Amino acid sequence: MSFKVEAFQNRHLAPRTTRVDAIVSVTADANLKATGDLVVGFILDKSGSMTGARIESVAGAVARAIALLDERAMFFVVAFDGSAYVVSREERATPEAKRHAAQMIRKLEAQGGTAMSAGLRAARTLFERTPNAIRRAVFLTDGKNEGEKEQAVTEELARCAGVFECDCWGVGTDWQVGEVQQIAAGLLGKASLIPEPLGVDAAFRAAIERARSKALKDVRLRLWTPQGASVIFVKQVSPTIDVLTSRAKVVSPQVLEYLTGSWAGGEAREFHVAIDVRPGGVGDELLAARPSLVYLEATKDAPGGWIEREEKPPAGRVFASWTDDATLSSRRDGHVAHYAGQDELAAVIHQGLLRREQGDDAGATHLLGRAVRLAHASRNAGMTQRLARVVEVIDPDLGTVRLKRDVKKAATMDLELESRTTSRLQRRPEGGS
Amino acid sequence: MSFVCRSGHASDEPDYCSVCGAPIVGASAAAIHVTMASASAGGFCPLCGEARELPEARYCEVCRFDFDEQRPGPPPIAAGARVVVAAAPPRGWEVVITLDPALDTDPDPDHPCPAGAAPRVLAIDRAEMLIGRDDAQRDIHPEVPLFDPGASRRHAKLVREIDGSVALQDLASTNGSQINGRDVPVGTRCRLAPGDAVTIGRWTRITLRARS
Repeated sequence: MSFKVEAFQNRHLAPRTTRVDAIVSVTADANLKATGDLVVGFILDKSGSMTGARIESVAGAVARAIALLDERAMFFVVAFDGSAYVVSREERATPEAKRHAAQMIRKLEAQGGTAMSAGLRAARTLFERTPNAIRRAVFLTDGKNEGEKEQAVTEELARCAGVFECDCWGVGTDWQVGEVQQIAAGLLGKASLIPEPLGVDAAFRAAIERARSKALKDVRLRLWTPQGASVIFVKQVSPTIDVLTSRAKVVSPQVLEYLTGSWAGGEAREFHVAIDVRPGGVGDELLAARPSLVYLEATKDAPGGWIEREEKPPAGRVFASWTDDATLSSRRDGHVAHYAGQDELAAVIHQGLLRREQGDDAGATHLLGRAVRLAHASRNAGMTQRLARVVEVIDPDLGTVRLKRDVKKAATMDLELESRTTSRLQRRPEGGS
Repeated sequence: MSFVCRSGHASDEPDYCSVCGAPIVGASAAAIHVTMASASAGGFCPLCGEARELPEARYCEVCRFDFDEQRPGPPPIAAGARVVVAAAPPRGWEVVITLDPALDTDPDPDHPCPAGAAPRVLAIDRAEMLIGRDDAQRDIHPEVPLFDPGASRRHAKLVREIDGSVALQDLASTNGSQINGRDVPVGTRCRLAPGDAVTIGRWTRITLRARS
């Protein structure tokens, strides 16, 4: 078995209620080895604003990052300004290829505009040549998308989805959180901020390590629901919040599938699943959802090097049972409550920062205070720390805060980027079935 | 293999119906009826439709319908109540239940095997005896209660066959059952010989022997 799946829920429903909420926790086996083909692509902004320290540190960071790849992997580098250039086309990571790529990157001259869709399109074209590999990209920019319509990126992202995955970084503070986040979210990645050019090195290293650790490809959360039931939403809630509902692929009338990308051994994610079932009578029991994981596993024997498998661990089943005992049905499961809180935390941070930008200090203070209280209560230490850079915390238990005056722009951008990163609930021992 | 739920849907899944999600209780029984067509000797419960597995079984496995009296059966025996057996059964079979930490191949520090528990001996004094984890909340009180987190609530049952021998039937348990180390197919009655060891869950061993 490659996956451990466990559902956390309160299965007891009051008569005439039909909504079932559960947290489905999925953990990949820690012993999975990454042996399949891997392609890593770099998509680099070479617009005019990158001149000087930025382009130099990026060139150095790419050279050091590809040095970490072994010959199982292939890599390529594309750069974009108003249009895109293939700096180094896809090649196996041999010492010569790495040397050659490093030379070519150093020749890049920073000039021109920023058309992100051009960079994405060039990368997609290269990735499409290697359909049987885990395909991960690293996207780096330092500015706003200019000289093209917003729709150009949206359309290109739709074509890239399912072809490759992409983590995104913005250098400095002259770029738009929303734009970069849109790319990362569309390609199952994460958007982060690099305040100083020197930080690019560590970011790329981490990206390469993450790509190298991926063992399973095209992992999908598949969800069976009973006849007459409907999926209200499916959200990834850990490690980050990502709403998957609209990305559902219909497998059969009762089975939907959500692409989660590639997974490394030991990787753990949690999903909040909400189902509306047909009402039942007191005493009735129903299977409300049967989650399974479908994935491609590397093997030498299958054509293309990957074989599809499905795992349906019984501990992942989500139930509904109706009772007239209100003490049973009114209890809220700890996991469901925790992630509902984390979801609210992300929402109030987003709203709070928006109000702050609009100059509504009273509204911002109220919302960010609420965020501090939620982060503190859920022991989300990373978020508490980030909030403390934007507001002065007077009482974390009550959520009493004061807006700070001279806040660095990087602090608010970082807070917004990380607002969807959740904390995990501490596990208690379970009884088993 | 196909299973049938209470509403009559053909299900691909043995535990809950793959159409409507209703539990397939006594999954094994329903399955046997599908694969062996008219082999049901006992017919079906008129109240809930569950198969009557043995012609001499008095109560329905699911709803406790009383086949002999043709009326709904007695309420469940409350947990902890003493069952008084009127007359000692004639000489027959008994099982010895031992907890063996050596069976626990992947010990969980939060749930260690209780050390030093004395073996329990239970007479096989009914036509059918449920083996499983007692769950007062769901009103499941197996005749052979196990104290093992790896056992299902309705894990398996011991069945006294007409010829007097004893068989084990796994009731589609989560983690399965083994006889002398070999996996038991779900839903099939496997005859036990004296000395046969059934292993269930993390550390439970049930050995059959003749009553002395």
